[in-house]
Amino acid sequence: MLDSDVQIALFAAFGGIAVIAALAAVLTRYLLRSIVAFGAFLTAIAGQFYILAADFVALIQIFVYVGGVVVLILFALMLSAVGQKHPLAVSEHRGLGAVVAYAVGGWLVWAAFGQDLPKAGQVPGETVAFLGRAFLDQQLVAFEVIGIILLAAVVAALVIVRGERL
Amino acid sequence: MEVNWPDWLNFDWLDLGWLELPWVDTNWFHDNWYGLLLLGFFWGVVVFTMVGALTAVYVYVERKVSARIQGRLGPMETGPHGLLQTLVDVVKLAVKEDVRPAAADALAFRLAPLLVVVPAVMAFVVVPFGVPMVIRDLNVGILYFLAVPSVTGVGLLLAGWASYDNYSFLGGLRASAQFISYEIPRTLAVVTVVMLSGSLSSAGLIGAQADTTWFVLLLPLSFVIYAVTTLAEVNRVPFDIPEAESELVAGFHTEYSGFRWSLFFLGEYASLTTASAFAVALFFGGGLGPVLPPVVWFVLKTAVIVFFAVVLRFTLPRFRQDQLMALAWKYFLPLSLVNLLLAGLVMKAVF
Repeated sequence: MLDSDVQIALFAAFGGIAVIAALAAVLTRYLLRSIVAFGAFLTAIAGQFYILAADFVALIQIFVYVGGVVVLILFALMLSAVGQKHPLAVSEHRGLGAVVAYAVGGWLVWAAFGQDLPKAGQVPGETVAFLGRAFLDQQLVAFEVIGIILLAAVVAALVIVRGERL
Repeated sequence: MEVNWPDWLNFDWLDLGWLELPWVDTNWFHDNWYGLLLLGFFWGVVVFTMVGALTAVYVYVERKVSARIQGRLGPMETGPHGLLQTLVDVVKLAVKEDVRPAAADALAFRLAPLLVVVPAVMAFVVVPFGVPMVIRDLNVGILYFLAVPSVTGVGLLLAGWASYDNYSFLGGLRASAQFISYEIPRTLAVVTVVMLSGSLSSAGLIGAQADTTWFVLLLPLSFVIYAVTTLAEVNRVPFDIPEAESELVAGFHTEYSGFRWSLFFLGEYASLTTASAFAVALFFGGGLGPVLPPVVWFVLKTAVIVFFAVVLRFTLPRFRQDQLMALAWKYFLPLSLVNLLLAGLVMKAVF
Protein backbone atom coordinates (compact mmCIF):
# COMPACT_ATOMS: atom_id res chain seq x y z
CA MET A 1 0.00 0.00 0.00
CA LEU A 2 1.20 3.46 -0.81
CA ASP A 3 1.36 6.15 1.78
CA SER A 4 -0.60 9.30 1.15
CA ASP A 5 2.60 11.29 0.56
CA VAL A 6 3.12 9.51 -2.75
CA GLN A 7 -0.50 10.08 -3.69
CA ILE A 8 -0.21 13.77 -2.87
CA ALA A 9 2.98 13.88 -4.93
CA LEU A 10 1.14 12.25 -7.85
CA PHE A 11 -1.70 14.74 -7.49
CA ALA A 12 0.77 17.63 -7.51
CA ALA A 13 2.56 16.16 -10.54
CA PHE A 14 -0.69 15.99 -12.51
CA GLY A 15 -1.43 19.55 -11.39
CA GLY A 16 1.98 20.68 -12.64
CA ILE A 17 1.41 19.01 -16.01
CA ALA A 18 -2.03 20.63 -16.21
CA VAL A 19 -0.62 24.11 -15.51
CA ILE A 20 2.20 23.72 -18.05
CA ALA A 21 -0.19 22.38 -20.70
CA ALA A 22 -2.71 25.15 -20.04
CA LEU A 23 0.00 27.80 -20.37
CA ALA A 24 1.21 26.18 -23.58
CA ALA A 25 -2.34 26.16 -24.92
CA VAL A 26 -2.80 29.90 -24.46
CA LEU A 27 0.75 31.06 -25.20
CA THR A 28 1.45 29.24 -28.48
CA ARG A 29 0.53 31.09 -31.66
CA TYR A 30 -0.06 27.89 -33.60
CA LEU A 31 -3.64 26.72 -33.37
CA LEU A 32 -2.80 23.03 -33.80
CA ARG A 33 -0.29 23.04 -30.94
CA SER A 34 -2.76 24.92 -28.80
CA ILE A 35 -5.35 22.17 -29.34
CA VAL A 36 -2.83 19.41 -28.60
CA ALA A 37 -1.79 21.19 -25.41
CA PHE A 38 -5.46 21.52 -24.46
CA GLY A 39 -5.83 17.76 -24.90
CA ALA A 40 -2.82 17.20 -22.63
CA PHE A 41 -4.38 19.54 -20.06
CA LEU A 42 -7.65 17.61 -20.08
CA THR A 43 -5.78 14.32 -19.66
CA ALA A 44 -3.85 15.70 -16.68
CA ILE A 45 -7.11 16.81 -15.09
CA ALA A 46 -8.46 13.29 -15.64
CA GLY A 47 -5.42 12.02 -13.75
CA GLN A 48 -6.26 14.33 -10.84
CA PHE A 49 -9.86 13.10 -10.81
CA TYR A 50 -8.50 9.57 -10.61
CA ILE A 51 -6.27 10.35 -7.65
CA LEU A 52 -9.31 11.99 -6.00
CA ALA A 53 -11.14 8.64 -6.23
CA ALA A 54 -13.49 9.87 -8.97
CA ASP A 55 -12.64 7.01 -11.35
CA PHE A 56 -15.87 7.29 -13.35
CA VAL A 57 -15.47 11.04 -13.84
CA ALA A 58 -11.83 10.59 -14.86
CA LEU A 59 -12.73 8.13 -17.62
CA ILE A 60 -15.70 10.19 -18.81
CA GLN A 61 -13.32 13.15 -18.97
CA ILE A 62 -11.08 11.18 -21.33
CA PHE A 63 -13.97 9.65 -23.31
CA VAL A 64 -15.95 12.84 -23.87
CA TYR A 65 -13.33 15.59 -23.77
CA VAL A 66 -10.16 14.04 -25.18
CA GLY A 67 -11.83 11.49 -27.47
CA GLY A 68 -14.76 13.71 -28.43
CA VAL A 69 -14.35 17.44 -27.91
CA VAL A 70 -10.66 17.64 -28.88
CA VAL A 71 -11.37 15.58 -31.99
CA LEU A 72 -14.25 17.91 -32.88
CA ILE A 73 -12.08 21.01 -32.38
CA LEU A 74 -9.37 19.47 -34.57
CA PHE A 75 -12.07 18.63 -37.10
CA ALA A 76 -13.25 22.23 -37.12
CA LEU A 77 -9.64 23.39 -37.55
CA MET A 78 -9.19 21.12 -40.55
CA LEU A 79 -12.39 22.34 -42.18
CA SER A 80 -11.39 25.96 -41.67
CA ALA A 81 -8.84 27.59 -43.93
CA VAL A 82 -6.24 28.35 -41.25
CA GLY A 83 -2.91 27.03 -42.53
CA GLN A 84 -0.64 25.36 -40.02
CA LYS A 85 2.31 27.43 -41.19
CA HIS A 86 0.71 30.73 -40.31
CA PRO A 87 0.77 31.73 -36.66
CA LEU A 88 -2.33 33.39 -35.33
CA ALA A 89 -2.43 37.15 -35.58
CA VAL A 90 -2.34 39.06 -32.31
CA SER A 91 -5.82 40.25 -31.48
CA GLU A 92 -6.58 43.97 -31.26
CA HIS A 93 -8.67 43.36 -28.17
CA ARG A 94 -5.95 41.90 -25.99
CA GLY A 95 -6.60 44.35 -23.16
CA LEU A 96 -10.31 43.57 -23.05
CA GLY A 97 -9.56 39.85 -23.24
CA ALA A 98 -7.14 40.12 -20.31
CA VAL A 99 -9.74 41.94 -18.21
CA VAL A 100 -12.38 39.29 -18.93
CA ALA A 101 -9.91 36.45 -18.29
CA TYR A 102 -8.71 37.87 -14.97
CA ALA A 103 -12.28 38.61 -13.88
CA VAL A 104 -13.43 35.04 -14.62
CA GLY A 105 -10.27 33.60 -13.04
CA GLY A 106 -10.68 35.73 -9.93
CA TRP A 107 -14.32 34.77 -9.64
CA LEU A 108 -13.44 31.06 -9.91
CA VAL A 109 -10.73 31.34 -7.23
CA TRP A 110 -13.13 33.26 -4.97
CA ALA A 111 -15.83 30.62 -5.53
CA ALA A 112 -13.39 27.78 -4.84
CA PHE A 113 -12.23 29.25 -1.51
CA GLY A 114 -15.63 30.55 -0.49
CA GLN A 115 -17.42 27.23 -0.88
CA ASP A 116 -17.95 24.86 2.00
CA LEU A 117 -16.32 21.94 0.23
CA PRO A 118 -16.75 18.41 1.58
CA LYS A 119 -13.80 17.00 3.49
CA ALA A 120 -11.28 14.92 1.62
CA GLY A 121 -11.72 11.18 1.87
CA GLN A 122 -15.50 11.26 2.11
CA VAL A 123 -16.15 9.39 -1.10
CA PRO A 124 -18.43 6.44 -1.77
CA GLY A 125 -16.67 3.18 -2.58
CA GLU A 126 -18.93 2.43 -5.56
CA THR A 127 -18.82 5.72 -7.41
CA VAL A 128 -20.82 4.57 -10.44
CA ALA A 129 -23.83 3.40 -8.45
CA PHE A 130 -23.64 6.55 -6.33
CA LEU A 131 -23.60 8.80 -9.40
CA GLY A 132 -26.40 6.85 -11.06
CA ARG A 133 -28.63 7.21 -8.02
CA ALA A 134 -27.78 10.90 -7.70
CA PHE A 135 -28.67 11.56 -11.34
CA LEU A 136 -32.00 9.76 -11.18
CA ASP A 137 -32.90 10.99 -7.70
CA GLN A 138 -31.87 14.41 -6.37
CA GLN A 139 -30.57 15.69 -9.71
CA LEU A 140 -33.36 14.28 -11.88
CA VAL A 141 -34.64 17.67 -13.10
CA ALA A 142 -31.17 18.87 -14.09
CA PHE A 143 -30.51 15.55 -15.79
CA GLU A 144 -33.66 15.76 -17.88
CA VAL A 145 -33.11 19.44 -18.71
CA ILE A 146 -29.64 18.59 -20.04
CA GLY A 147 -31.25 15.92 -22.22
CA ILE A 148 -33.72 18.43 -23.66
CA ILE A 149 -30.96 20.99 -24.31
CA LEU A 150 -28.88 18.38 -26.14
CA LEU A 151 -31.89 17.32 -28.21
CA ALA A 152 -32.53 20.96 -29.11
CA ALA A 153 -28.87 21.31 -30.13
CA VAL A 154 -29.10 18.26 -32.40
CA VAL A 155 -32.31 19.53 -34.03
CA ALA A 156 -30.75 23.00 -34.46
CA ALA A 157 -27.69 21.46 -36.11
CA LEU A 158 -29.96 19.55 -38.50
CA VAL A 159 -31.87 22.72 -39.37
CA ILE A 160 -28.63 24.61 -40.09
CA VAL A 161 -27.24 21.78 -42.19
CA ARG A 162 -30.37 21.25 -44.25
CA GLY A 163 -30.95 24.98 -44.78
CA GLU A 164 -33.94 25.82 -46.93
CA ARG A 165 -34.75 22.23 -47.75
CA LEU A 166 -36.74 21.82 -44.55
CA MET B 1 -3.05 16.37 6.19
CA GLU B 2 -5.11 13.35 7.14
CA VAL B 3 -6.71 11.77 4.09
CA ASN B 4 -8.71 8.59 3.93
CA TRP B 5 -8.03 7.20 0.50
CA PRO B 6 -10.45 4.61 -0.80
CA ASP B 7 -9.22 1.03 -0.84
CA TRP B 8 -9.06 0.61 -4.58
CA LEU B 9 -6.54 3.40 -4.86
CA ASN B 10 -4.01 1.55 -2.76
CA PHE B 11 -2.37 0.10 -5.83
CA ASP B 12 -2.53 -3.51 -4.57
CA TRP B 13 -2.89 -4.42 -8.19
CA LEU B 14 -0.87 -5.77 -11.07
CA ASP B 15 -0.40 -8.71 -8.76
CA LEU B 16 2.16 -11.30 -9.71
CA GLY B 17 0.83 -13.63 -7.00
CA TRP B 18 -0.94 -15.87 -9.51
CA LEU B 19 2.43 -16.76 -11.02
CA GLU B 20 3.34 -18.34 -7.64
CA LEU B 21 7.03 -17.83 -8.15
CA PRO B 22 8.68 -19.17 -4.97
CA TRP B 23 11.76 -16.95 -5.26
CA VAL B 24 9.86 -13.68 -5.67
CA ASP B 25 8.45 -11.88 -2.66
CA THR B 26 5.45 -10.21 -4.30
CA ASN B 27 4.75 -8.17 -1.19
CA TRP B 28 7.91 -6.21 -1.80
CA PHE B 29 6.39 -4.78 -4.97
CA HIS B 30 3.36 -3.50 -3.14
CA ASP B 31 5.20 -1.99 -0.21
CA ASN B 32 7.16 0.61 -2.15
CA TRP B 33 6.20 2.99 -4.87
CA TYR B 34 9.30 2.05 -6.85
CA GLY B 35 8.26 -1.59 -6.60
CA LEU B 36 4.90 -0.68 -8.10
CA LEU B 37 6.60 1.33 -10.79
CA LEU B 38 8.74 -1.71 -11.63
CA LEU B 39 5.66 -3.92 -11.73
CA GLY B 40 3.84 -1.51 -14.01
CA PHE B 41 6.89 -1.33 -16.25
CA PHE B 42 7.06 -5.13 -16.33
CA TRP B 43 3.44 -5.39 -17.47
CA GLY B 44 3.98 -2.66 -20.03
CA VAL B 45 6.89 -4.59 -21.55
CA VAL B 46 4.91 -7.87 -21.51
CA VAL B 47 1.88 -6.35 -23.24
CA PHE B 48 3.92 -4.43 -25.81
CA THR B 49 5.95 -7.53 -26.69
CA MET B 50 2.77 -9.55 -26.99
CA VAL B 51 1.22 -6.96 -29.31
CA GLY B 52 4.33 -6.92 -31.48
CA ALA B 53 4.42 -10.69 -31.77
CA LEU B 54 0.67 -10.86 -32.44
CA THR B 55 0.95 -8.27 -35.19
CA ALA B 56 3.61 -10.35 -36.95
CA VAL B 57 1.31 -13.38 -36.75
CA TYR B 58 -1.69 -11.39 -38.02
CA VAL B 59 0.17 -10.03 -40.99
CA TYR B 60 1.23 -13.56 -41.97
CA VAL B 61 -2.28 -14.96 -41.51
CA GLU B 62 -3.79 -12.04 -43.39
CA ARG B 63 -1.46 -12.58 -46.34
CA LYS B 64 -2.07 -16.30 -46.44
CA VAL B 65 -5.86 -15.99 -46.12
CA SER B 66 -6.04 -13.29 -48.79
CA ALA B 67 -3.88 -15.45 -51.07
CA ARG B 68 -6.16 -18.44 -50.51
CA ILE B 69 -9.28 -16.38 -51.27
CA GLN B 70 -7.72 -14.84 -54.38
CA GLY B 71 -6.30 -18.13 -55.68
CA ARG B 72 -2.65 -17.26 -54.99
CA LEU B 73 0.04 -18.82 -52.80
CA GLY B 74 1.03 -15.77 -50.76
CA PRO B 75 4.52 -15.53 -49.22
CA MET B 76 6.48 -18.74 -49.94
CA GLU B 77 10.13 -17.78 -50.33
CA THR B 78 11.34 -16.91 -46.81
CA GLY B 79 11.27 -19.98 -44.57
CA PRO B 80 8.89 -22.92 -44.94
CA HIS B 81 5.61 -21.61 -46.45
CA GLY B 82 6.95 -18.09 -46.02
CA LEU B 83 6.70 -18.29 -42.24
CA LEU B 84 9.68 -15.98 -41.72
CA GLN B 85 8.39 -13.34 -44.14
CA THR B 86 6.96 -11.00 -41.50
CA LEU B 87 10.10 -11.27 -39.38
CA VAL B 88 12.15 -10.14 -42.35
CA ASP B 89 9.64 -7.35 -42.97
CA VAL B 90 9.98 -6.17 -39.38
CA VAL B 91 13.75 -5.88 -39.80
CA LYS B 92 13.22 -4.03 -43.06
CA LEU B 93 10.79 -1.56 -41.48
CA ALA B 94 12.97 -0.99 -38.44
CA VAL B 95 16.07 -0.06 -40.40
CA LYS B 96 14.28 1.88 -43.14
CA GLU B 97 14.93 5.60 -43.46
CA ASP B 98 12.50 7.73 -41.49
CA VAL B 99 11.33 10.33 -43.98
CA ARG B 100 9.60 13.46 -42.79
CA PRO B 101 8.13 15.90 -45.34
CA ALA B 102 9.81 19.30 -45.16
CA ALA B 103 6.45 21.05 -44.77
CA ALA B 104 5.22 18.79 -41.99
CA ASP B 105 4.73 20.06 -38.45
CA ALA B 106 7.61 18.22 -36.74
CA LEU B 107 6.07 18.00 -33.29
CA ALA B 108 2.64 16.79 -34.39
CA PHE B 109 4.16 14.48 -36.98
CA ARG B 110 6.16 12.67 -34.29
CA LEU B 111 3.39 12.71 -31.71
CA ALA B 112 0.64 11.25 -33.94
CA PRO B 113 1.87 7.60 -34.21
CA LEU B 114 2.35 7.48 -30.43
CA LEU B 115 -1.18 8.77 -29.86
CA VAL B 116 -2.45 5.94 -32.07
CA VAL B 117 -0.45 3.07 -30.61
CA VAL B 118 -0.28 3.86 -26.88
CA PRO B 119 -4.04 4.07 -26.13
CA ALA B 120 -4.61 0.94 -28.22
CA VAL B 121 -2.07 -0.97 -26.15
CA MET B 122 -3.32 0.55 -22.88
CA ALA B 123 -6.69 -1.10 -23.47
CA PHE B 124 -5.07 -4.44 -22.59
CA VAL B 125 -5.08 -3.44 -18.91
CA VAL B 126 -8.75 -4.38 -18.52
CA VAL B 127 -8.99 -7.34 -20.92
CA PRO B 128 -10.13 -10.38 -18.87
CA PHE B 129 -7.84 -13.10 -20.21
CA GLY B 130 -9.01 -15.74 -17.79
CA VAL B 131 -11.97 -16.01 -15.46
CA PRO B 132 -10.45 -13.80 -12.78
CA MET B 133 -7.22 -13.04 -14.64
CA VAL B 134 -7.05 -9.42 -15.67
CA ILE B 135 -4.07 -7.08 -15.37
CA ARG B 136 -6.22 -4.74 -13.36
CA ASP B 137 -9.88 -5.23 -12.59
CA LEU B 138 -11.04 -1.62 -12.51
CA ASN B 139 -14.43 -0.74 -11.04
CA VAL B 140 -15.13 0.98 -14.34
CA GLY B 141 -13.23 -1.41 -16.62
CA ILE B 142 -15.75 -1.44 -19.47
CA LEU B 143 -15.84 2.34 -19.53
CA TYR B 144 -12.04 2.32 -19.52
CA PHE B 145 -12.09 0.03 -22.55
CA LEU B 146 -14.39 2.46 -24.39
CA ALA B 147 -12.71 5.67 -23.22
CA VAL B 148 -8.97 5.13 -23.51
CA PRO B 149 -8.83 3.85 -27.12
CA SER B 150 -11.03 6.79 -28.17
CA VAL B 151 -7.90 8.95 -27.85
CA THR B 152 -6.71 7.18 -31.02
CA GLY B 153 -9.02 9.49 -32.99
CA VAL B 154 -6.87 12.46 -32.01
CA GLY B 155 -3.79 10.63 -33.30
CA LEU B 156 -5.37 9.82 -36.68
CA LEU B 157 -6.52 13.38 -37.17
CA LEU B 158 -3.16 14.77 -36.07
CA ALA B 159 -1.32 12.46 -38.47
CA GLY B 160 -3.45 13.64 -41.38
CA TRP B 161 -3.05 17.29 -40.49
CA ALA B 162 0.66 17.23 -39.62
CA SER B 163 1.70 15.55 -42.89
CA TYR B 164 0.69 18.66 -44.86
CA ASP B 165 -0.51 16.56 -47.76
CA ASN B 166 -3.94 16.47 -49.37
CA TYR B 167 -4.34 12.70 -49.29
CA SER B 168 -3.33 12.49 -45.65
CA PHE B 169 -5.56 15.42 -44.86
CA LEU B 170 -8.64 13.81 -46.43
CA GLY B 171 -7.79 10.48 -44.79
CA GLY B 172 -7.52 12.15 -41.38
CA LEU B 173 -10.85 13.94 -41.85
CA ARG B 174 -12.58 10.73 -42.88
CA ALA B 175 -11.02 8.79 -40.03
CA SER B 176 -12.19 11.20 -37.37
CA ALA B 177 -15.69 11.59 -38.82
CA GLN B 178 -16.03 7.82 -38.90
CA PHE B 179 -14.58 7.46 -35.43
CA ILE B 180 -16.98 9.89 -33.79
CA SER B 181 -20.04 8.62 -35.69
CA TYR B 182 -19.60 4.95 -34.90
CA GLU B 183 -18.59 5.52 -31.30
CA ILE B 184 -22.18 6.45 -30.39
CA PRO B 185 -24.06 3.29 -31.50
CA ARG B 186 -21.14 1.19 -30.25
CA THR B 187 -21.32 2.68 -26.77
CA LEU B 188 -25.10 2.25 -26.72
CA ALA B 189 -24.70 -1.42 -27.65
CA VAL B 190 -22.24 -1.91 -24.79
CA VAL B 191 -24.63 -0.13 -22.43
CA THR B 192 -27.22 -2.91 -22.90
CA VAL B 193 -24.58 -5.44 -21.83
CA VAL B 194 -23.77 -3.35 -18.77
CA MET B 195 -27.49 -3.17 -17.93
CA LEU B 196 -27.72 -6.95 -18.09
CA SER B 197 -24.56 -7.70 -16.13
CA GLY B 198 -25.13 -4.93 -13.61
CA SER B 199 -21.41 -4.25 -13.41
CA LEU B 200 -18.88 -2.05 -15.15
CA SER B 201 -15.89 -4.23 -14.22
CA SER B 202 -14.63 -6.80 -16.68
CA ALA B 203 -14.46 -9.52 -14.02
CA GLY B 204 -18.05 -8.75 -13.00
CA LEU B 205 -19.04 -9.11 -16.64
CA ILE B 206 -17.62 -12.63 -16.83
CA GLY B 207 -19.20 -13.46 -13.48
CA ALA B 208 -22.64 -12.39 -14.73
CA GLN B 209 -22.26 -14.60 -17.79
CA ALA B 210 -21.18 -17.52 -15.61
CA ASP B 211 -24.46 -17.09 -13.69
CA THR B 212 -26.69 -16.89 -16.78
CA THR B 213 -25.38 -17.68 -20.24
CA TRP B 214 -23.43 -16.05 -23.07
CA PHE B 215 -24.86 -12.58 -23.59
CA VAL B 216 -24.87 -13.05 -27.36
CA LEU B 217 -27.86 -15.35 -26.84
CA LEU B 218 -29.67 -12.75 -24.74
CA LEU B 219 -28.68 -9.66 -26.72
CA PRO B 220 -28.12 -10.74 -30.34
CA LEU B 221 -28.93 -7.30 -31.74
CA SER B 222 -26.38 -5.65 -29.45
CA PHE B 223 -23.75 -8.04 -30.73
CA VAL B 224 -24.54 -7.23 -34.37
CA ILE B 225 -24.31 -3.49 -33.67
CA TYR B 226 -21.11 -3.95 -31.67
CA ALA B 227 -19.49 -6.11 -34.37
CA VAL B 228 -20.27 -3.77 -37.28
CA THR B 229 -19.44 -0.55 -35.46
CA THR B 230 -16.22 -2.06 -34.12
CA LEU B 231 -15.09 -2.91 -37.64
CA ALA B 232 -15.65 0.74 -38.45
CA GLU B 233 -13.84 1.92 -35.32
CA VAL B 234 -10.70 -0.05 -36.07
CA ASN B 235 -10.77 0.99 -39.75
CA ARG B 236 -11.20 -2.52 -41.12
CA VAL B 237 -12.71 -3.36 -44.47
CA PRO B 238 -15.52 -2.71 -45.46
CA PHE B 239 -15.03 0.52 -43.50
CA ASP B 240 -11.40 1.30 -44.32
CA ILE B 241 -12.09 4.39 -46.42
CA PRO B 242 -9.76 6.60 -44.33
CA GLU B 243 -6.89 4.66 -45.90
CA ALA B 244 -8.49 3.54 -49.15
CA GLU B 245 -5.45 2.81 -51.28
CA SER B 246 -7.24 3.27 -54.61
CA GLU B 247 -8.42 6.82 -53.90
CA LEU B 248 -6.31 8.22 -51.07
CA VAL B 249 -3.01 6.36 -51.60
CA ALA B 250 -2.92 5.37 -47.93
CA GLY B 251 -4.89 8.08 -46.18
CA PHE B 252 -3.52 9.57 -42.99
CA HIS B 253 -0.29 7.55 -43.07
CA THR B 254 0.67 8.30 -46.68
CA GLU B 255 3.68 10.38 -45.63
CA TYR B 256 4.91 8.03 -42.93
CA SER B 257 7.65 5.51 -43.51
CA GLY B 258 9.80 3.01 -41.68
CA PHE B 259 9.32 2.64 -37.97
CA ARG B 260 6.68 5.36 -37.53
CA TRP B 261 4.57 3.76 -40.24
CA SER B 262 4.83 0.39 -38.51
CA LEU B 263 3.64 2.05 -35.29
CA PHE B 264 0.37 2.88 -37.07
CA PHE B 265 0.15 -0.71 -38.17
CA LEU B 266 0.88 -1.93 -34.66
CA GLY B 267 -1.83 0.34 -33.29
CA GLU B 268 -4.36 -0.91 -35.81
CA TYR B 269 -3.74 -4.56 -34.99
CA ALA B 270 -3.63 -3.83 -31.27
CA SER B 271 -7.08 -2.24 -31.47
CA LEU B 272 -8.35 -5.14 -33.56
CA THR B 273 -7.10 -7.55 -30.88
CA THR B 274 -8.53 -5.66 -27.92
CA ALA B 275 -11.83 -5.07 -29.71
CA SER B 276 -12.11 -8.79 -30.55
CA ALA B 277 -11.06 -9.75 -27.04
CA PHE B 278 -13.74 -7.49 -25.65
CA ALA B 279 -16.30 -8.90 -28.05
CA VAL B 280 -15.50 -12.27 -26.47
CA ALA B 281 -15.72 -10.82 -22.96
CA LEU B 282 -18.95 -8.92 -23.61
CA PHE B 283 -20.87 -11.48 -25.63
CA PHE B 284 -19.18 -14.90 -25.63
CA GLY B 285 -18.56 -15.54 -21.96
CA GLY B 286 -14.87 -14.60 -21.93
CA GLY B 287 -12.81 -17.53 -20.70
CA LEU B 288 -15.82 -19.63 -19.73
CA GLY B 289 -15.83 -23.10 -21.22
CA PRO B 290 -15.48 -26.77 -20.31
CA VAL B 291 -12.29 -28.87 -19.85
CA LEU B 292 -9.67 -26.44 -21.16
CA PRO B 293 -8.27 -23.69 -18.92
CA PRO B 294 -10.01 -20.29 -19.25
CA VAL B 295 -7.02 -18.57 -20.88
CA VAL B 296 -7.02 -21.14 -23.70
CA TRP B 297 -10.76 -20.68 -24.25
CA PHE B 298 -10.32 -16.94 -24.28
CA VAL B 299 -7.50 -17.00 -26.82
CA LEU B 300 -9.38 -19.50 -29.02
CA LYS B 301 -12.57 -17.43 -29.08
CA THR B 302 -10.63 -14.24 -29.78
CA ALA B 303 -8.72 -15.95 -32.59
CA VAL B 304 -11.99 -17.03 -34.22
CA ILE B 305 -13.30 -13.46 -34.18
CA VAL B 306 -10.05 -12.01 -35.52
CA PHE B 307 -10.04 -14.65 -38.27
CA PHE B 308 -13.60 -13.66 -39.16
CA ALA B 309 -12.50 -10.02 -39.50
CA VAL B 310 -9.62 -11.09 -41.77
CA VAL B 311 -11.90 -13.13 -44.03
CA LEU B 312 -14.36 -10.20 -44.22
CA ARG B 313 -11.57 -7.95 -45.47
CA PHE B 314 -11.15 -9.95 -48.64
CA THR B 315 -14.77 -10.80 -49.33
CA LEU B 316 -16.58 -7.47 -48.98
CA PRO B 317 -16.28 -4.35 -51.15
CA ARG B 318 -15.46 -1.00 -49.56
CA PHE B 319 -18.21 1.44 -48.58
CA ARG B 320 -18.46 4.92 -50.05
CA GLN B 321 -17.98 7.85 -47.64
CA ASP B 322 -21.59 9.04 -47.81
CA GLN B 323 -22.93 5.48 -47.48
CA LEU B 324 -20.74 5.04 -44.43
CA MET B 325 -22.07 8.16 -42.73
CA ALA B 326 -25.65 7.30 -43.68
CA LEU B 327 -25.21 3.81 -42.23
CA ALA B 328 -24.02 5.21 -38.91
CA TRP B 329 -26.50 8.04 -38.42
CA LYS B 330 -29.62 6.82 -40.23
CA TYR B 331 -29.58 3.12 -39.41
CA PHE B 332 -27.25 2.20 -36.58
CA LEU B 333 -28.02 5.09 -34.24
CA PRO B 334 -31.83 4.58 -34.30
CA LEU B 335 -31.33 0.81 -34.22
CA SER B 336 -29.14 1.03 -31.14
CA LEU B 337 -31.64 3.33 -29.39
CA VAL B 338 -34.47 0.88 -30.14
CA ASN B 339 -32.25 -1.95 -28.94
CA LEU B 340 -31.57 -0.09 -25.69
CA LEU B 341 -35.28 0.49 -25.13
CA LEU B 342 -36.16 -3.14 -25.93
CA ALA B 343 -33.43 -4.47 -23.67
CA GLY B 344 -34.67 -2.27 -20.83
CA LEU B 345 -38.30 -3.30 -21.31
CA VAL B 346 -37.46 -7.01 -21.49
CA MET B 347 -35.27 -6.81 -18.41
CA LYS B 348 -38.01 -4.99 -16.54
CA ALA B 349 -40.51 -7.69 -17.54
CA VAL B 350 -38.27 -10.69 -16.81
CA PHE B 351 -36.42 -9.73 -13.64
